[in-house]
Amino acid sequence: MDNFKAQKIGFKRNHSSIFENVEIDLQTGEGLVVRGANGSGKSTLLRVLAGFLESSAGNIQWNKQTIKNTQSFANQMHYLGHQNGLRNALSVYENLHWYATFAGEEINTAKIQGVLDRLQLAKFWNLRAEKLSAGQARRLAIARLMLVQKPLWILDEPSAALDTQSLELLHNLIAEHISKTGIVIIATHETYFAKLNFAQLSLGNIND
Amino acid sequence: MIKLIVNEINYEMKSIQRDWWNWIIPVVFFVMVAALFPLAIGNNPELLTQIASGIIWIAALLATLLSCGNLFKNDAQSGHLDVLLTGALPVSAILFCKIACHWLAFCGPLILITPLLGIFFKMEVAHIQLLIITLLLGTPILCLLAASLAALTINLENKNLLLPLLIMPLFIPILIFGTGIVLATPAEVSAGLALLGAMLLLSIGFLPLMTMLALKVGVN
Amino acid sequence: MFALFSRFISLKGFYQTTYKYLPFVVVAFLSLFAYGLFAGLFLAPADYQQGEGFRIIYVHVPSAFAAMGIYLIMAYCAILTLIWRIKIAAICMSASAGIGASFTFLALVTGSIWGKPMWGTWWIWDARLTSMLILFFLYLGFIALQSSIADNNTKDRAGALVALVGVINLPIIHYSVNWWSTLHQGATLSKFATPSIALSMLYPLLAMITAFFLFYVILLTLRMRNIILLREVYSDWVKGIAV
Repeated sequence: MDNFKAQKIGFKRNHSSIFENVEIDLQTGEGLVVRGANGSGKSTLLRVLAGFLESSAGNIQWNKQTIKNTQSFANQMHYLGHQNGLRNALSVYENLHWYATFAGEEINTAKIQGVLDRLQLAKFWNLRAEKLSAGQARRLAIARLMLVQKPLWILDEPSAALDTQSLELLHNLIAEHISKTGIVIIATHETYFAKLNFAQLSLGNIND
Repeated sequence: MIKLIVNEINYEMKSIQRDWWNWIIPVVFFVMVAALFPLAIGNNPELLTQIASGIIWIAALLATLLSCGNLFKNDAQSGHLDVLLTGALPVSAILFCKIACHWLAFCGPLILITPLLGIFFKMEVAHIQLLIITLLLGTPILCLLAASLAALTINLENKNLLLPLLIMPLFIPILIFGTGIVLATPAEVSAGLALLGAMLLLSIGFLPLMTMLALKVGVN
Repeated sequence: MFALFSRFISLKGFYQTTYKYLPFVVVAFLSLFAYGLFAGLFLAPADYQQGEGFRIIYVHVPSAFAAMGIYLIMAYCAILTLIWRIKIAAICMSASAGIGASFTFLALVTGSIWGKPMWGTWWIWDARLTSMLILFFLYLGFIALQSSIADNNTKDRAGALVALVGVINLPIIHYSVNWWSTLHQGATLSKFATPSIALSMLYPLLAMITAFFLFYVILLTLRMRNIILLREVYSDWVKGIAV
C-alpha cells in the first residue's frame, strides 16, 4: 500500500507566492486532478511534487520517506512534463530500450513491440525520435509509462497534442493504472477524471 | 549499477556519433583557428614554430569551450534531463558518463589531428609528442570545468559569451601548464606532467559533484 | 555576544543596526585615510631607489590587498549561502562583487601608472599584473552571471558556485602564472624588491590598508542596505520606511 503525502507545501518566487498551504494525501488506487487557469502554477506544483523544485514550506513524503529531490523517489515515479523527454538522435526503439535498462528492467523486445503496437507507433520502430510529429512524440513519452511499471505517476497536461483515439487510449491507461495499485496526479483541463473519483485541487486562489 | 553506466555510455555515444557532423565540425573548427594565426601574423616559419604549441593549445581550448557549452542544451530542451534525474543512477555518475562521452567524441578527433598540425607548423617530433600528452591530460579537465559552468547557464537566454567569460579564468592555469610543459626543460617536464595529472584526478573527483550542484541550480 | 551577531543576520536587523553604527565607521575611515594620505605623501621619506614616485604604493598596495581580500570574503559568503542558505551572506556576496571589481581595476590602473616611470612601459605581462588581470575577469564573470538571472534564489546559488569555483582556482592560477612568468623570461623586468621597509613608510601604508578596508565596509553596507530594500520591497517593514 503506497502513500503519497504533501503537507502544507508552498512555493515562492521572489517573494510572490505561487501557491501555499497545499495538502495532498493519496493512497494506492487514488488520483488527484489539479485544475487552474494557465499560469496559475500547476506545472510548478507538479514539479515541486516530483522533487525537481524545492518547496519553500512544508514537506512531501512518499511511503513515509521525505522527498528532498527527484532521486528520493528511488525510481518509483514517472514524471511526464510539457516536454517529452526523448533522446532526439535515437530511434523510437532505442529510446525505449535505453529507458528500460535505465529503469533497471530486463529488456524484452516482445514487450516493447507490444507497447508500440498498442500506441500505434510500431511502424516508426527505426525512425529518429526528432522526426516524429508532436502527437507521435507524446505517445512515445506515454510508451515509457507503459513499459516500466512504477506506482506513482505525475502527469502535466499529458493529453496535449493527442488526437481523440490516443486520448481514449490515455484515459484507459490511467484507469488501468489506478485500478492496478497506482497513484496518479494529473494536471489537466479535461473532465474525464471526475468519473474515476479523482480528488480535485484548484490553483489560482492564494488562499487554497 | 555497472550495467546502468554501460547503458548510459553506450547510448550517449550513439546519440553523438549518429550525426557524422558531430565528429567533423570540431576538427574543422580546430584546424581553422590554428590556420588563423599564420594568416594574421604572416608566413614567418621560425616565429610560427616557436609559438606553435601555444596556437594549437588555444585552438583546442576554444573548440572544447564551444562544444562543451552545448553539453546540456539538447537534453534540457527535449526534457530528457528530467528523465535522467528521476532514475536510479546517481546524478554525478550520469554526468561523468556524459562528459566522458563528449570528451571522447569532441576532443578525440582533435588530438588525432594534432600531429598533422604539428607537422604543418614544423614542430620537432619530441615537442609534438609532449603536446599530445598535455592535450590528453588537459582537455578532459577543460571538459569537466566547462560542464560544471554550462550546467549553471542552461536556462539563461543571452548566454552566448557569458559561458566563455566565466570559464576563461579557470582555463588559464591549464593552458599555462599545457603549453609550458612542451617548451620546458626535461626536469620540469615530469614535474609539470605530474601536476597536470594531479589536476585531472582532482577534477574527476570533484567536478562531477560540482556540476550536479550547478545542475540543480540551473534547472530551476 | 551572540545577540550582537544575530542582530546582523536578519535582513531587517541588518538594515536597522547598520544605521546606528555606520557613522562611527565613517569617522574611523576618514581619520585613518587622512593620516595615511598625509603621512604617506608628505612625512615619509623619499625612496632611495625610486624617488618620489614610489608614493603611489599608498594607493596601489591597499587596492591590491582589497581586491584579493574581497574575493576571499565573497568566497566565504558563498560557502554560507550554499550550505546554510544564509540570505545576508548572499547579499553580502552580490554587493561585494562590484566593489571588488572596482578595486581590482584601481589596482591595475595604479600599477600601470607606477610601471611607466619604473619599467618604462604601461603594461608588462609579469606574474602579478597578469594574476590581477585574471582576478578582474573572475569578478566580471561573476557580475555578468548574476545580472543575467532574475530569480533571487537562483541568482544567489549560481553566484555562490561560481565564486567558489573561482576561489579554489585562485591559488592554482596564481602559482601557474608565477611559473609561467619564470618560464618565459623574455623581457628582463627589474623585480621591485621590498627587502625591509622603513617604519615611517610602513605606518602610513598600514593605515591606508585599514582605511581602504573600512571604505569597503562603508560601501558594502550602503549597497547591502539598498539590495535589502529592493528584495524585501513587499514586506511590511519596508513599506513602513517608505511611508
